[in-house]
Amino acid sequence: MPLTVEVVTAIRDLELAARLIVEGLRTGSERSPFLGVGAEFRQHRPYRPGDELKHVDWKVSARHDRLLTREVRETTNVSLLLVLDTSASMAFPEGAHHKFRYAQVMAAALAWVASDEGHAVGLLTTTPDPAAADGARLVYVAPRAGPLHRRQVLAAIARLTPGGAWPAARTVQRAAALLRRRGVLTVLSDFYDDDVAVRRALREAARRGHDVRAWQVVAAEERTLPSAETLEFEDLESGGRRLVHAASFAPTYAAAHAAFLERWRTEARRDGVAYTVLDTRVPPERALRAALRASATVSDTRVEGPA
Amino acid sequence: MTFGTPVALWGLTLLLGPVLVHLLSRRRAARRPFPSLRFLEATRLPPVARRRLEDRRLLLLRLSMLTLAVLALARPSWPTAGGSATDGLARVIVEDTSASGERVAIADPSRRTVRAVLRAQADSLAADGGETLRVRTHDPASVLPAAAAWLVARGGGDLVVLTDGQPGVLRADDLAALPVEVGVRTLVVEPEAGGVFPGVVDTAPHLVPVAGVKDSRAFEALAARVSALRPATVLQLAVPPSTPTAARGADVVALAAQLADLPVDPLVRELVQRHGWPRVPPPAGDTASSATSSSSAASVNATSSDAWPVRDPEGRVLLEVHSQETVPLAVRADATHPVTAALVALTLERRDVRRLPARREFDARVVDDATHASWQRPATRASRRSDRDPTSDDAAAPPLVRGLWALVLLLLLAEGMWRGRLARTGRADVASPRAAEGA
Repeated sequence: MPLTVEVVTAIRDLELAARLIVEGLRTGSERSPFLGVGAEFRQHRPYRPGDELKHVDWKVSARHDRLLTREVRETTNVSLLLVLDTSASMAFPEGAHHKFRYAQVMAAALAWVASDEGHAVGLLTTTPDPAAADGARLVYVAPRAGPLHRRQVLAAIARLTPGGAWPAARTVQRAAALLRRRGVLTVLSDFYDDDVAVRRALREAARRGHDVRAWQVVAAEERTLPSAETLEFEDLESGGRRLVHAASFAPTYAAAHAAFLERWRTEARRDGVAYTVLDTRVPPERALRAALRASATVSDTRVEGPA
Repeated sequence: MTFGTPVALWGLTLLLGPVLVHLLSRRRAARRPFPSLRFLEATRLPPVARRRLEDRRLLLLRLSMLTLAVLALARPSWPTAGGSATDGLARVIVEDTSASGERVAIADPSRRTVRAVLRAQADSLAADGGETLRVRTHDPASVLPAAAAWLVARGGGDLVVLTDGQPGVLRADDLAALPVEVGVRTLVVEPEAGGVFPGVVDTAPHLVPVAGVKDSRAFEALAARVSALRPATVLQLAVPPSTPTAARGADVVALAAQLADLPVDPLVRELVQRHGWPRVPPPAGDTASSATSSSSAASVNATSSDAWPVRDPEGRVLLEVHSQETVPLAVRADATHPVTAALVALTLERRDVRRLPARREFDARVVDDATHASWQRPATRASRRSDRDPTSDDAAAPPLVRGLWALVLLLLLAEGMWRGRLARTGRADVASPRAAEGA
């Protein structure tokens, strides 16, 4: 059953949704490794009890008429730190299927994929707190491996709600700092807030050696203006209003938004940041596959370069 | 269209309200939450034709609604042919154009001529509203049957005859012949005594057939006929302008001589024996209008060569024959007196007087005073409908007003629906509360 966006986002249990996505991912013929460099094949060795069945190479086993497992070089277990944008702009469009929900599901799925492969998964995000200095409080779950911790991370993701503003650049910088050794920093955001500073922070994180992935969440409804004559647009975060004659301004807006995305793409590539657009219309498993593939390309090039 | 409550028409000033609202207000644009305004420029709203058009249509709707409401309050009524209950009745106004255009109407403050006063009366009657047919004729009697038929076709009505009241204009038989649905009113405007006697009537289309009567009894009969004429009848005898003055001079003398002989005429003397001389009012004006007395004084004194008096033995002028067009024969004495009548008849018999050509045909028939007096009374009309004042408040509003109110209600509904439609399509949904996301 193809998992549509609506179905997945409707699943209240984030863990279930993530698992469904990932399983959908795994049933594909292509393996989508979490890390760019897939686990390198070393050898086939005879099956030892305790090996995970998923590592059994059935094809080869059938040929040789005995169970053989693919032995992969122990890839380095890295730390994945997920950074989620919880600003109010993510709560668009109105309703249950907004960008943030999509980002939540994608983050959960990614966490599952990573933890499945044995990596440590953590979460860094902010939550509105009126008592805090700039109204936001950091929520940090330190990266750790294992299914129990994964469940904790997923629960933390599920608890998040979008709202208020998001200290984007600062959060990214903190994330880069928190990842002590070289890790995977995945930022899921629409990058509306402070995008120049965020790009700079990402660039620096990449320079530091982290595997930086920028996944920009874009809703179809914000690529173009709604069709109406004159609308007064209200900024979800700042509350500011602007009166726009939508009918005549629509092409300008569409072009500006496309240019924004394009700029992110080119600059990310230039900075060595793996960039993917997560369109909320795309079914999550397909999006995840594409995103992981995109990240692989970048990491491939990166790995070839000086470490 | 007449209005029952014309003061309600002041409500039309309220039409200014929606116009002002339309000009001053600006339709609020729908509010849409959006993740970021960074790509949105505040565009200067172009004069959106569609919005203007929508607003204008709404404005038109409101204005027409208001206008209809005001009209409904003013209670209009159309004069309908064929008996709408509250409307004005049909009316025929017959204007007698044979009235004098020169003599001034009696007791008219603006001193207008009789013809002008009749015209003015007819104008004001016609302006009263209601279905009116206006006839202007020299001979009102001839149009009466047609006018009556017209009125009957409309369910009856008023026949108003405006006349200077000369005998023969309207005859008793004509009036009696009118159907009962037709109410007759006569308005008589008499000319002022332009000359010497109060009540001297100018145009008098009467002809007393003057035959040579030698018999005093016949003369009495003749006199009775003459006296049946309205008092102080002036017979219009026109002097042809072509008469040379010299000849007139000779005629004048001859005429004067002849007229001077009248009182000594044996017939006259016999009548005088029987009835005495007629009373001549004193020249210093005893009757109504001072104008008349002054003019009578004037005419006594200035008996010009154009006037030939007939005097009694005391020298008092009994009547005068004038050669002017306007006052050809003025009777000073009591015109109902047989002697005066006889003198009038004899004067008319005079060859020189008869030589003066008459301006018009004279009507032989005579109308007595009773008939004339009856004309002056407003006729009671046998009406088929109850007389209702059209402007009185009716228990039920007339259908026209009801229709107007129904229209107003319809338009009100339409406006409400229109505004609802605008609200639905124009505005976005109200921002739902932020999705409280939970697992």
